[in-house]
Amino acid sequence: MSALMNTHTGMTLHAPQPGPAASVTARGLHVGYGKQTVLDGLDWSLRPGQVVGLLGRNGSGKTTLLESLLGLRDTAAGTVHLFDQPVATLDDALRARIGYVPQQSDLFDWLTPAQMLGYFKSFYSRWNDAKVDGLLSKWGIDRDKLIAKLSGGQQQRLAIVRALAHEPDLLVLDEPVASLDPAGRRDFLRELVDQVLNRGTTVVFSTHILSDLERVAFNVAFLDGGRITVQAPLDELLETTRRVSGTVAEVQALVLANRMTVIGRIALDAGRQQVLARLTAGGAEPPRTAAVLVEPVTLEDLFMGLTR
Amino acid sequence: MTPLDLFTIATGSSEPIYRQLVEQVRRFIAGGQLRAGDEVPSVRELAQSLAVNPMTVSKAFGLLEAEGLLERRRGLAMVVAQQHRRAQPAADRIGLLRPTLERAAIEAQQLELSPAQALALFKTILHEPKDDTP
Amino acid sequence: MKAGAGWTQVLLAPWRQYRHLSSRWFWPALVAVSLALPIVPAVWGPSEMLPWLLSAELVAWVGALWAWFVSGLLIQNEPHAARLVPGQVRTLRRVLLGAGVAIAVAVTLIGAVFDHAALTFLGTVAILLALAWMVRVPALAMLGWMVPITRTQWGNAPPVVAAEEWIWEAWETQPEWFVLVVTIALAAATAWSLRHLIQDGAARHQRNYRLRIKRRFAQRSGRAQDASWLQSGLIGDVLSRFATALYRQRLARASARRSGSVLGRSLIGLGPRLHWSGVLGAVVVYGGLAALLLVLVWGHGWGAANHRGMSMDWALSVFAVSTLTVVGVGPRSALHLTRREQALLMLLPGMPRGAALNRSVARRLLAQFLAWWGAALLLCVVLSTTQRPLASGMPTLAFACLPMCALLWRDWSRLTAPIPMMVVGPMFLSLVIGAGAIGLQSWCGVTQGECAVAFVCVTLVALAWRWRLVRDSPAAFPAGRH
Repeated sequence: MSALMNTHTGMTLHAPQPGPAASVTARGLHVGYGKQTVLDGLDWSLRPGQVVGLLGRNGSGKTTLLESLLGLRDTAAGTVHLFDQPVATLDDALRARIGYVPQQSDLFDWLTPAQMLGYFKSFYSRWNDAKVDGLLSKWGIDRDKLIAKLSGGQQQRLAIVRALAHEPDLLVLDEPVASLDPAGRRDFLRELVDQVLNRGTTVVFSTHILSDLERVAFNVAFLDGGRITVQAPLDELLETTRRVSGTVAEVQALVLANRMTVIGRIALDAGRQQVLARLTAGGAEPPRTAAVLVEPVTLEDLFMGLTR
Repeated sequence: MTPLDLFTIATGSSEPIYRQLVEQVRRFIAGGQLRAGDEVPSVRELAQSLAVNPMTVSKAFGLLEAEGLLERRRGLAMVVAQQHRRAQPAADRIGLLRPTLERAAIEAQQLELSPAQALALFKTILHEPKDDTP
Repeated sequence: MKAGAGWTQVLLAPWRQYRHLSSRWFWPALVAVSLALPIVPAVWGPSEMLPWLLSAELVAWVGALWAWFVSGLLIQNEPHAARLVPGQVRTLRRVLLGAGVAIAVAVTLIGAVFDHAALTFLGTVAILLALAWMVRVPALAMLGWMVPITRTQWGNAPPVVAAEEWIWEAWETQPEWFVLVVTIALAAATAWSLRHLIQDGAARHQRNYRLRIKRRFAQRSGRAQDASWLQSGLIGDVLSRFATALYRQRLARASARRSGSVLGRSLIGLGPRLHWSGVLGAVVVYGGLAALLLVLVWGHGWGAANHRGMSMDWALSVFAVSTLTVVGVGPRSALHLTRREQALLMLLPGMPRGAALNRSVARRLLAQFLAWWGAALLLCVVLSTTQRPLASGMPTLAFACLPMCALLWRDWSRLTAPIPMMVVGPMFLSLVIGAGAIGLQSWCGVTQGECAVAFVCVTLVALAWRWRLVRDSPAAFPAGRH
């Protein structure tokens, strides 16, 4: 609880619901379809209040991972703990503190928004009517029009309203803004900042839109080859990672000389390669030479280099 | 109150957002858009306006406070600190000027000016009235 | 060469669509049925029926293949391609015309047995045109069925009789002119049809194409609202509003309450097809509409034994059978279509999990089925009191459908997308077995009671066997996740 009162900035966060803190721990997760393995011994943990962006190529298993975290997929091996409890036997009180925005936004499309929200409300003890009404009006969602007849963007906004309405402490979002235009995405991010981040909610979201991730995620995690290969605060990654390009031997030499850790590799043609390497505490900033190119990285470079 | 739209950030760059904010505040102070005693927006307001994680904004503000550019007041918004309260010693400040003077010295030698001529020029320039005061 | 390549692609397309998109068993099953059917009159029944049956089958096959072919062409007639691909529309039209003419010529040659070659040709072309239009506008298909079947109703009206006599006279006295006039009319109709069957990308084309795709891929799209022609358009909206009225009322009631079984309340959220209120609404509105139509068009009275057409009790039989169909067939596809909503429901506080969930869901599905089946059985028993010849066998039919309930109990986590054969197959099989049981009753003296007991025993055994499956499977929801 004290971790959430950030005296350094003087910013008091609204108290979340009482009970265990919203942490997520996955250990040794193995998930597959038939012979195909999607998650291969995946370890991941999120502390309460962390905001993590999950990055990975199409088909790398981001949706599978998020669904496994919520207990919606059967795992061949491994455990998932939410709020320090196994996800399969989660308390009802704890389940009420989870919010989920799935990738498909046109769910319950035979109902109207009013009916759908009223239906969900009957299951939760904590439901913020004022916020729901406010968001529906602000985003211009017609309460009495069939969801099937709403546009894709409106459907996504509605899904977000449904997930935020019961003020969850753990929010899982699977490509929540894929159908929204830039203004809509900006709105959603603002809402996320205002309503969610200020409350100290733990947030996991996967998206392809790197600019959104940069704004809102303090940490990023890269999913590649069925595992989380890198998880770190984004600022730190951007500041300490360098893109080193040159012949294989030269790059190797430079990396060794400056005690850098290689986190990703992109092979170029003619015996050259591009390597993403992080500076370590014991190492030094590599000097700029004519032969080997050392450049700072952007999030896009990290994405291209750390996922395959 | 400083208008919120003064602050912008760019995504897709190799500079983390908190660093962009720090540099921006430094430039505003140097350029005069932020004067000593001006209030800066609260962390929450700025985070909301830029659609950025509040922790990023508070990290930037924390760094600016440590550098002495911003000042915290109890119960009120943060303000730009008074310039002359900066604790940087004279020796450091003189050291910052060295690279520029070294370049000027090389040019003076190439132009085959004597040290006395160069120094006289420098003195004249220093006494010239300036239009842009920090 | 280019034109030839275009033709080949167009002709191959329906075959490719079939291979990849339809059930593999559809056409082979149809072939099997067509081969098996003539055996009945050949071995048991009146053998003079055989040639009639064979030619009827041939006609049905030609019609079915033509309809399938036209449907394939219409799918190819995509609005954007029509505008942007050079010559595609022209090729499609030519293929349609060529195929139609080829079929008509073939039929004429086969039917050279009849003397009126020209009429055969023209008649075939007319029928092919009509079929093509029925594929293009499914509402016409309904009309196309009803018109010949209801001939007894309107065939005796004076204008119709007079028109028929006039046509017959024209044919008798001036055959050449008759043929000429019909040929010209048909040629004009063909030209006009070609232009409007294969469209060229206008706004109306786009609307029609969207509807066509929605209908065709409704089950694969994963959405709970099916897009049958009955449910699109203004009338469809009104009908579905009535059909779901009770469901929406129950949903509002459940949303207002906060007590009671969480699973029960959450299942309402899975849509009208899985809840008794929605099923009741659908049966009453759509089944009732069908029954009403039958009564209005054909008949009157109750159990009138000497009336050629259909009467009230037949309409009620349709009602009963449609009830059984909806109940037996509904849950499987509805459970698959709403699997993503089920994922959200699993996160609700209070939802049972694992084996407890399986048991609860199994009990509810069975209870729902039995309730509906009981109502249908009651209806069948009431119908069997009439004097109509086959009505006495209705309760046996109902009992034959009872074992279908065991199909409801399965490993839902491995549910696959339903295809029509899988869904209608068991129903069909039950009815066939029921017919067989009725035959047994009349030939071997088995009583109805004994048949009923036999079916109940089969059901109990099947349920006991499936219960183990239910107990040991992974959690039912979200369905189809493996």
